Amino acid sequence: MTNLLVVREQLRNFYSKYELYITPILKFLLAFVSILMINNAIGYMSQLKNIAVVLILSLMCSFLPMNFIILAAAVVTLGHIYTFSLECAIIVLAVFLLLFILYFRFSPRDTLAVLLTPLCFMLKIPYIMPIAMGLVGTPVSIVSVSCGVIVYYTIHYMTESASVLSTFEEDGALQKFRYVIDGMLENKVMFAAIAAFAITLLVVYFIRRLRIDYSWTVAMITGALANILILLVGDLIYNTNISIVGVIAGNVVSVLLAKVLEFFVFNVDYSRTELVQFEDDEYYYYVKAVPKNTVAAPQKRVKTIRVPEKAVRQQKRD
Amino acid sequence: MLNEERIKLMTKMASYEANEGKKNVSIGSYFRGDYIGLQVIRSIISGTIGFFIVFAMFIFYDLETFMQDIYKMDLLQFGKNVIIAYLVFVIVYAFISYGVYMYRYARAKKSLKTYYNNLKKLSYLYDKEYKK
Repeated sequence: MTNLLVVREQLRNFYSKYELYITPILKFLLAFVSILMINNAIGYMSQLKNIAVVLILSLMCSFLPMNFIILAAAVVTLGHIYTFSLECAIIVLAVFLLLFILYFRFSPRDTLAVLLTPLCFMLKIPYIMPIAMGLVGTPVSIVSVSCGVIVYYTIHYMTESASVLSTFEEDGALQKFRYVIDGMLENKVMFAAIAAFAITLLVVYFIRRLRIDYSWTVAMITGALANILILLVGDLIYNTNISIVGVIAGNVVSVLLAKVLEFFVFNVDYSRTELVQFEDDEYYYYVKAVPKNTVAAPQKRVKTIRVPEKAVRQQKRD
Repeated sequence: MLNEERIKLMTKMASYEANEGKKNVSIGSYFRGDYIGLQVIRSIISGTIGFFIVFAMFIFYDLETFMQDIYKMDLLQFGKNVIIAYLVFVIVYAFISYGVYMYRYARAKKSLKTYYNNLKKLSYLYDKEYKK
């Protein structure tokens, strides 16, 4: 445990020292991975699959604000779906527009949850999202996580029914449109997932705020149990045919991941070096403010013990 | 002359302005009514756009039956229903955003209190220096 704490402290120091470079790199990686995963899942447009395009987009994301990653991911998704079918693209565009216009005016920070939820779905660990958002967010985060679930299942449904959609005639735009919307509205798995995630998030949030020992750990485990329970109940009621083993394993992994995140991310103050500039009547000030570290990582000290030569000689003689 | 105390204070304030205070400072430059009013108007506009998107999808979804029935149905009644639905949606949305932005304004003002105090302190420091 002490070693882990030391690692964390070193990590924190490292981050506060090189924050200027680390943040863009992390942003670049997030954008790169997201776009690659989108390409992998629904890569219909070959131009967007070009690695140069992906790299340029990710590089742009690395120095633009965080929300640009979401915009880029949305545009790439739309591009792929447009190549696949115009009607589907219209639907996805409408869903995106509604999300952005009606909800993200209020909480632009939560947009990341919308991007991360589908990504976690693709990585088969979607259950981490409600747990993590319950730990760091507020109950309002339910909306963002639900939006993420809707986005994932919409696209998932389209790719799954790709073969059916391609059998429609050329002028069957209306039928296609109808088919997709019907499929979305009757997607029981999606609604079960939304309900499960919403309740999990609430459970985690409220337990995390209780004044009990280990409230965070208790919150994670209870949340995961609630999640499993609701998904199973949803399976019983709607016959959603989810794999029970998958749900349980996914939840166990999610709790472990949440624990790791808690240790390294959520409870640590990654206060960073700040570069600010201002002026008064006489001077321009360019100030670099470096945070003081309250807990110093123990430094390794090597103590060499030299035996005096005299003693060695004495010993040899004896 | 460089004044260390002043520089510390200014650094703190500049860092507040650049990070968590960025939004609050811009909110603080509005009067309460102006800020909330502006945001509610924005909400009404985006609510309108949102409503039309949903409405267009709804019509497009049922386009065939809609086109067949268009001569049979009472268009006036249909229009009335649409307008009522629109008004209900936009008014509810506007009320929600009114509540949200009222809360945000209060929160921003609260957070700006320290900032304004620091400003006063800063001007006091300047005054003191000029008197010397």
